[in-house]
Amino acid sequence: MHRFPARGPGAIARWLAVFLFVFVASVPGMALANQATSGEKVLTGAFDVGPGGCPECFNPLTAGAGFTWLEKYFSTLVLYDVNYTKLQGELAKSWDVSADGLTYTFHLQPDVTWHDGQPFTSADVKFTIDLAKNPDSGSWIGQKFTGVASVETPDDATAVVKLSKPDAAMLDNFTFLVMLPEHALKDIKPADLVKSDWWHTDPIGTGPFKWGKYVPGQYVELDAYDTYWRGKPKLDKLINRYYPEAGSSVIALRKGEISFTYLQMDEANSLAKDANLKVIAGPSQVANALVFNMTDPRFKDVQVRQAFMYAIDRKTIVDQLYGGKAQLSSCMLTNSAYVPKDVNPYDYNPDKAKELLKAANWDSIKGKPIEVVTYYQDQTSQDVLVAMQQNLQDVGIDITIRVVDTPTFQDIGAKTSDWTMMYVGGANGPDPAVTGPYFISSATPPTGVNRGHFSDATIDKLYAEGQTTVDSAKRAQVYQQACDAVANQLPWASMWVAERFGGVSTKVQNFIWTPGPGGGRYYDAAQDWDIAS
Amino acid sequence: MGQYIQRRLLMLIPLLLLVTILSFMLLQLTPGDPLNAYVPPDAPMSAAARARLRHQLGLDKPAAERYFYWLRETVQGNLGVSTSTFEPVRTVIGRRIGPTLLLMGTALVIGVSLGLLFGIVAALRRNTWLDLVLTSFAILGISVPVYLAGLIGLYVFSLRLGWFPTGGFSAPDNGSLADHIWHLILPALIIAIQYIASTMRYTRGAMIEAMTQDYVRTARAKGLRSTAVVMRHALKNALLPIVTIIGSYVPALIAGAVFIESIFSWPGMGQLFIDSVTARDYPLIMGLILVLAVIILLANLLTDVTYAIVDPRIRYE
Repeated sequence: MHRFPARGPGAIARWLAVFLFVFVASVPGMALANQATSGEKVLTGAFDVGPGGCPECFNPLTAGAGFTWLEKYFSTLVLYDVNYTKLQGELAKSWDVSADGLTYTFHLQPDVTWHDGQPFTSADVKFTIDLAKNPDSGSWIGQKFTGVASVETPDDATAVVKLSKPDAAMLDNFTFLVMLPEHALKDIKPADLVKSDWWHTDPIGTGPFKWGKYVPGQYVELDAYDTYWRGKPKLDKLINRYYPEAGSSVIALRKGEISFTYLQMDEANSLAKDANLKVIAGPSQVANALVFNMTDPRFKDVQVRQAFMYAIDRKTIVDQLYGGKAQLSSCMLTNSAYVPKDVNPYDYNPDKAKELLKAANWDSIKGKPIEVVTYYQDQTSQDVLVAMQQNLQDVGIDITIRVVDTPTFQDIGAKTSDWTMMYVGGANGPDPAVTGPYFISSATPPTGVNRGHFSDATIDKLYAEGQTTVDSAKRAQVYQQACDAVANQLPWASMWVAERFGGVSTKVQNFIWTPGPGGGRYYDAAQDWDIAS
Repeated sequence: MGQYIQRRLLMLIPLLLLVTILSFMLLQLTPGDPLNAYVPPDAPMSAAARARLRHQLGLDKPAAERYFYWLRETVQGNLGVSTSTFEPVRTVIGRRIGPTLLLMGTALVIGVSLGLLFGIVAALRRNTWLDLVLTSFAILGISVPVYLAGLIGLYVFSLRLGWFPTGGFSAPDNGSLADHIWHLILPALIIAIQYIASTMRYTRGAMIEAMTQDYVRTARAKGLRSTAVVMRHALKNALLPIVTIIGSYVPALIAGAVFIESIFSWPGMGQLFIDSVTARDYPLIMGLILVLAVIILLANLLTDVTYAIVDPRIRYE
């Protein structure tokens, strides 16, 4: 083999070495040059990562989630406490409910101003409710306010909401509805408002932070609103960075580029050892369940549905696959106020399942394996479904699993003939009324999400009663009965409510966060959030 | 040549038409529609409200009518309005195309230049330790999937060594050029790896072959400096197959960008594509397909033109 004199290619190799050296040496220098030097207190987080987030959703009337972030610059009339057990005033200082449950009178907080300095008044409340109710606004939240007959504004500080029929979940509905400024939006037609760029150019709210800068696909920056009615926020800036790949936000958190993000369960476990981070756990308020298509004759017999509950070893699944971080549920609800003490816990009992199946003559009716459709694509859910498959096979029920994306799932769910069983998550709180549309006969698609066409007169009656019973003690009793009926009739085979997690830097002080369905809707005192330099 | 380019540009029209018709038909076959993506799975909504939304989104019209409507507007430069953000598609894509072209362009430049360099060195130093190291690197670079390289790169260089940021186009409150470059280097290098690797493999092969040709021996016999022999005689002839390879990188670059843009939170078109499909955002999906098809077809044209420049024997009539 001929060897060339060293000059030609050797020179190339030397240049290459020099190039690589300069490149590698310059990188740490660039990193140093990029250290932030300003003295401002800035908290950067990934507030729209995870199931409660809705990246770049800025219209609170149409956003399906993302309320944690939206409530940093917008506010609602009422909010829950962080445990979602009690409602408290936000823009409404207090409220009265008439004895017949038809009139809600909100007394508004004085001295509240929009971010442009204009006062917040009852006219804004009326404007917002009317806007949400208007189908042109494209708001699915507006569905919650169809029972509102009128909104009256006797004075600037009082808004009177009149209902056409009592709705005990009305205050819960108001935790979804952020107030919008009449003076800024009244000239935009509701149908145009959906397309308006007001939402991401100059929205004004009444929250502790005001709109600063939006860099599409990257982040939104909010500035402290100095004349916030509870006092000037301690942070100067609050930044929400977008991470399309959730895992990248966790690396950014570990590296200290951001101070908060949502965590998957395995990430929460591995970060628990990191001294610079704190893991926050909270109930997801989403109950997982198997949904039966009641038009399939195999599920007509309640014994078959009960056999599913006894056959699945829910406790072991929770212990092994959720690391114990989930709460069992027999009727979709887990709030102890609405669950009777003697509700059937459906402890694992494969023998009982086999007996029930035998009594229902399962072997002769079972037919082809049952396909279970789900939109859950995460690893934990996959493992859970495989465990269920095994458990069910042990008692003689064969299932197959089909994972699809959410729009496909919606399409399948809308056509009763296209599916047999589903594995889903349904919000189970904070108000128990949210579970009604899963089972009541008036909520079959496309109106509600009773996709299985389940129908039971007792359950219909109890949910209707719960909706109109305003007295909270009586209401709790009604939902306890409803819970019992659901646990016995099993329109959905209710599994558990898993916990969800967030990770926050120990530099952040007074931070309040919990992973509710769709995020937010609780008071988090964001004006007190602080960060150590 | 000018006439040839003109003809090729005219050919783009039926090709693009075909691409849009096929994509539109495939979209209709995809289960789910924008409305399904828009309403959360467990949110109740009345039939009337649903129908109204369907009408607002124009989904109540037959597919063929919607296609011709889309085509008519597109020809006039209106790509429609995104059904998930209600922003004009042209604005959304216009915002995202820059970062993607920057990332892809940088990766391509790094990939091709380092690939050529390593390939020449490996060919000239055939069967030495340097060749062995470079060849092993190339095999590794070709075999490792880009998303895996992305995750490993992010973990090692961002988290462990702390040399690079974990993602994004720039840090909030810092839009300086240095900051942009700093954010660009890691994702661009990671995408570049496989192009360095495959360019190197092809260059090495082509150069080894060229170096055995008679004209190289003649050039050397004339007493030319070895650099001149390598660069002017051998490389110029070896380049022809390499140009074809580089042209074929463009579609693959776009596919790779989808993963890397997600992992590095890069606000480009690849990421937008995933989001638009998840949201069944028909106008946005169609707009993106159109833009990507134009990029790919133009890249093919550019490859053919480069061919003629590199090899004067090639004539297009």
